[in-house]
Amino acid sequence: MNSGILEAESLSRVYHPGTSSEVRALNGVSLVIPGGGYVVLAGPSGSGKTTLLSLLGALDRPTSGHVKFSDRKLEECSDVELARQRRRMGFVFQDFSLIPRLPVWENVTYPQIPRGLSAVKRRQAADGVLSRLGLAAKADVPPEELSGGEKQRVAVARALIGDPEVIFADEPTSNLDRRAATELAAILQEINAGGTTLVVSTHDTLLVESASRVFTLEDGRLVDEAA
Amino acid sequence: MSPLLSIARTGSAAILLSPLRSTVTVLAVVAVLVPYLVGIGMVEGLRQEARIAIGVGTPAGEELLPDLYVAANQFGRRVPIPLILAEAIGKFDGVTRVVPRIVGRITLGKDNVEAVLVGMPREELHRQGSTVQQLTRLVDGELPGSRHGEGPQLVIGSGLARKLNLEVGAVLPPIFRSDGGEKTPRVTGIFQSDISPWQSRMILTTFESAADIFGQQELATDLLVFCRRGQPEAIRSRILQSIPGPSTERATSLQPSVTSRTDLESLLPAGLGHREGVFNLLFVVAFAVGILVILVTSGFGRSGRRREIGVLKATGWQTDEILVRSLSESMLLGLASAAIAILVALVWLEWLNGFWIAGIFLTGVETQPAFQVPYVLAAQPAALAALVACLLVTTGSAYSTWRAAVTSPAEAMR
Repeated sequence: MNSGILEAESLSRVYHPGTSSEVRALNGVSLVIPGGGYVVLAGPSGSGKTTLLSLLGALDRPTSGHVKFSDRKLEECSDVELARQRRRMGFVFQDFSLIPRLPVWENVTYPQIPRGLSAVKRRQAADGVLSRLGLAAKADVPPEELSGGEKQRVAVARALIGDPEVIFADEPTSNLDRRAATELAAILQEINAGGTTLVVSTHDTLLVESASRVFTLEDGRLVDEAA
Repeated sequence: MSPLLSIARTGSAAILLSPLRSTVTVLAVVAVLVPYLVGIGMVEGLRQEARIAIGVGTPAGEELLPDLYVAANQFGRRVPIPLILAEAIGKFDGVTRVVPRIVGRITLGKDNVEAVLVGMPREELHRQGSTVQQLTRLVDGELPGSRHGEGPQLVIGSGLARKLNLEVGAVLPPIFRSDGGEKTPRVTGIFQSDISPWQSRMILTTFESAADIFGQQELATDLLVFCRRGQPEAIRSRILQSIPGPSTERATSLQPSVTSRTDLESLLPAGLGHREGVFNLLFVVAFAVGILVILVTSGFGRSGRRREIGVLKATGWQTDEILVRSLSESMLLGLASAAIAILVALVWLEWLNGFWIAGIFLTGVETQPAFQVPYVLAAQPAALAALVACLLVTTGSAYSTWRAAVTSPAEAMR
């Protein structure tokens, strides 16, 4: 197996093990994600795409198997080190996961608060990213006043703010109309063109077509890999 | 800016981000703190009133307040003291004067309203600079005994006046008979309402009228003994040793009981401390209930809060940073709650005059107190309230925050 920025080896995730509601969400998945690649995790609903994305992005711990990020095994990391690893990543969630009532620019720069950046510097950084995503005029409004497409672009801006090596996006177009989805696909392509690795879970053909590699999952197993 | 300060500042923002949760939490804490602050405030107020009444800090022999209070016991029980003892004590060296006093309970009106009747010698009521004289500056009307030859003259407390619908000049139905026949007392004055609770249901009259009303001639309930400076202890000993003596044969079976002002000062903390202890006990119970309430109220928006913590962790926040943010939020909520509770307690005591709540804490006080409820909101209970509020909110929210913070972000966001 070639070395990549992210590697999964025999990755399994079982929810509620040993109970009547046990769910084997992921079953022995191994894959390599090359640095700078645009990878799509495809498959029907319930196939384990989101679970795999969470494990690759250090949002969850596997029941068995390993995830390596830049040659560091994530399951061996302490809570503090995991937080440091997550700062090298960015996340775009299906439901945007923005903090209500908080102005857009604050939402975007919230991950930077524990780094002790002043409000002025955070605002400057936010303005830069928001301008790039065409949201400069919305910097001071709360997420409640934005359309779905705008919210998702704010989520992308938040993922970009820390200049991450990898961006994970979970079904980023599922809550968007076609026009907004096309705009987002273009933005993701542009980000990838800048050298950032993209890992996107989706069954949206618009995003699948843009990918450099597609991993297809079914019932928690990797059934196909296409370049 | 230091990272810690930056994180702490997000705590204040978090209060506004969850307005419902913040409001419910503040209301719960205020509901716990206000009764405590009001209760402790009234105890402090009563303590201050009592200290003034017994003249704490006034040097012995200053003539303003009695130095010794002499009563009589028989078979181990308090009984009236014959006036003949007043004469005997008055002859002791170092005694400047002895004032007999009658204090007794009577009922008035068809509703049998209870009142405390106090009878003092006319000359004492009118003595310039006496305690009674100072007290009567607060009277509407005139003092008992101002006009000679009339029936009993009474100054009544504002609570009684309101309850019995009496005004200055009103004539009370005959409440006693004497050798001279039926006598109709007249209200010559009413204590103003902004005086202590002791006077709200008090009736002040002359010693002679009180003796007539109770039908007890030549007797007093106690004697107020005024001494020269430095003499009270010696006089106290002499009273205990020589009363009753040869000149007081009629009172040979009585045992005098002498209470000095110092004794009263030492009894004061015990009496009020008991009440304060009850408040503190109630407060411990309220604190325990408060934690449960906060635990429940912290459930308002708990799923949203859990999700928010999940997002923070997903974007690189550490568990300890999330806990600092939550601690800062809890502290600010606690301080805000304490400030609001102090303000509400102040308004309740000052502007609403302890409406309803004074009746809960003070026995025999009506829903709308007829007197100015005494209170002192000192710095110590206010600081304690702030500390308790912070502890309450922190304890109530710490567990749920910690649980969410140590859970994997994927689980917290689910």
